[in-house]
Amino acid sequence: MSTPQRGGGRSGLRPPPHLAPPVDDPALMPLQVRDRLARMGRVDPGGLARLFSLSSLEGELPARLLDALQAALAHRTVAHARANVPWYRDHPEYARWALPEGALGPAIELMSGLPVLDRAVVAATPARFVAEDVTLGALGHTSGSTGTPLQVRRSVEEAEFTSAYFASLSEPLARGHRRPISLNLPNAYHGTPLRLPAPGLSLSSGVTDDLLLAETARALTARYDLPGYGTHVEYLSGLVNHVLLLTGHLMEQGTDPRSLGLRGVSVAGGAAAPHWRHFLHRAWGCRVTDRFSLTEVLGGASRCPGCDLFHLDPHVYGEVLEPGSDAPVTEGPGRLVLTAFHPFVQMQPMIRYDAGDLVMRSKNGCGPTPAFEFLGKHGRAVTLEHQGRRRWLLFPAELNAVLAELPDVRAVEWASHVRSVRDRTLGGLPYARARLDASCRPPELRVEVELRYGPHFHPERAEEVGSRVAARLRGSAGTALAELEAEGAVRLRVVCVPPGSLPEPALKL
Amino acid sequence: MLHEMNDLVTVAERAIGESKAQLDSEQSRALAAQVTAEIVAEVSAEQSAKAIEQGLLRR
Repeated sequence: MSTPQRGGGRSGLRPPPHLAPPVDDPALMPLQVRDRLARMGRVDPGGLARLFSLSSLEGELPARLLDALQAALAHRTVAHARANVPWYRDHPEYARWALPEGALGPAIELMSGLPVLDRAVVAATPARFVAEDVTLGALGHTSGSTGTPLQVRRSVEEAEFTSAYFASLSEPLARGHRRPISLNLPNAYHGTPLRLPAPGLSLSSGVTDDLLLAETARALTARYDLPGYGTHVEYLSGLVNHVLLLTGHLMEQGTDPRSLGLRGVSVAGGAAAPHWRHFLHRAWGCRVTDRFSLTEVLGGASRCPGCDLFHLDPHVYGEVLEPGSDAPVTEGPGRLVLTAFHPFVQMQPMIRYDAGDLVMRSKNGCGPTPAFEFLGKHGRAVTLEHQGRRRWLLFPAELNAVLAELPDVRAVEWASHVRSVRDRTLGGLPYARARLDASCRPPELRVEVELRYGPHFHPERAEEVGSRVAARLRGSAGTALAELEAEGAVRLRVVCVPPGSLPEPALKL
Repeated sequence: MLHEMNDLVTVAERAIGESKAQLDSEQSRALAAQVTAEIVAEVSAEQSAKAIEQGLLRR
C-alpha cells in the first residue's frame, strides 16, 4: 500500500454509516450492508448466514450483495488481524492501514495492496500468526503434502461462530421434513475434531481397517427408526480415497450402491480425477460434490454441476495471481491465493494466503465467485524458460487424470492392510514421474509411467499407453508443450517402466 | 448486535424482494442440502473421535 489510509476513496461523498438514512432504493442496499456490516461490533452468525443465503439467489442485486458482504468481511478481517496478531501488526503494509471513515471500497481494492503470505512464512513463525484476543479451542494440522506440516490453531470463539452459522444455513432443510442422516468418514489425522453441525443426524466412521469398514458398510445399509429423521443414510462424505475404497468394497461384496438410496456424495482431501468422479456418480446414482479445501481456511470450493469448475465458497475470498509476481490472472494458469474471513477464522488469520496450489482460472464459470480447475501443486508442475518467458509444460492434475483412466498403470495401495477389500488401489495416486532434462538438445520432458506389468511383456499395449499419455499432455489446456515441440524447443518422451521402478508418489498431487 | 444485524437482514430482504427472500422455499431446501453435502465433507463431529477410539479399542 502506498497511502496511509487505503480504501476510503469515496469517503467524502457519503455520511458516516451510523448516520446513514434507511435505504428505500433497493439498488443502494448492498452499499448499506457493506458499510454497516464492516463496522458492526460483533457479527451475529444467524444474520450473516441469512445475508449469504440471500446473496446466493440469482440476479444482479444478490450478486452485488455478495460483493458487499465480501468487502465488509475483508475490512473486518484486516482490522482484526492488524489489531490482534503480531505478524500483521508489525508488518509495515498493515501498520499503515486504517479502516476508512466513509464508504468502503470493494474487497479487491483492499486485498490487492496487501502482501501475499507464503505458507513457508507461516510455518517458520507460527506463533506470530496467533491472535491475542481469543482462546485456543482446537488444534488441527496439515498433512505436510505441501511441505512442512503446519499447525492450525482454532479458537473457541470461531468454533462457536461457525457452528451457529452452518446450523442456521442448513436450518430450512429440517422445516416440515424429516431431518436427514449423514455418514462422514473424517480425516482422522487432522487433529482436534471440529464441531460443525449437520442439519440432521451425523454418523462418523472410517474405512482404514477391517472393523471400521465393516461398521461403515453396516451403517450405510441399515434402516433406522428415529422419529423426525429419515430411515437411512442419505448423505455420504469423506476423503476421496476413503469413499472410493468403500464404494469398491460394497461392489465387491455384491451390494449395488445405487440400491442404498443416497441423495448426495461429497469428496474432499485430494484431487479426484474425472475418471473417479464419474465412477462414483455411476456407482451411487446421485450427485457427487467434489470439494477443494485446505485446513488453514475454513471452507474452500465446490465443483459446480453446471460448468464442472470449482466455485469458491461465498465466505472465502480468492484471487489467482501470476507465479513470481502479484499480477492478477483473469484467465489461465496461476497460483490460488485465499483469504479466510473473520469471524470464520479468528485465531490464525490467513490473509492472501498462498498454499502453493496452481489453478486454471476460467472466465466461463457460471457463478459470481471465481471459477477454476485445480492443476496440482505449483512446485510439481513442469516449466521451461523459453525466450525469456516461463512456459508451462505439464500440470500434475492433467497427468493424474489420464493415468487414472488407464488400468495398466500401477497405483499406490494406500490401504494395503485392509484385508477385506480385494482391490486396494482405488483412489491411490499412480506411480509416475515427470522431469525436464535441460542437458538434452532440445530439452526433454521425460514422463515415466510405471505399469502393473513389465512393458516388455506387452510391448504393443505399453506403446498404446505411452501414446495416450503423450497425446493428452500435448493437448493439455494452458500448456505450451505442443507449440514448443512443433518449434523444436522441447521434446516429450513418455516411457513405461516395470513395477517397482519408481518411488512411491507423494500423498497428494 | 442482534438488533443491528436483524435490521440489515430486513433491509436486504426488502430490497431483494419478498418472494425471493422466502428462504424456506424448495429452492432454499435444495441449497441447504447442497451446503450440507459440501460441508459435511469437512466435518469432524465430536462423535467421530469416539467412533475411531472405540474402533481401535475393539480391535
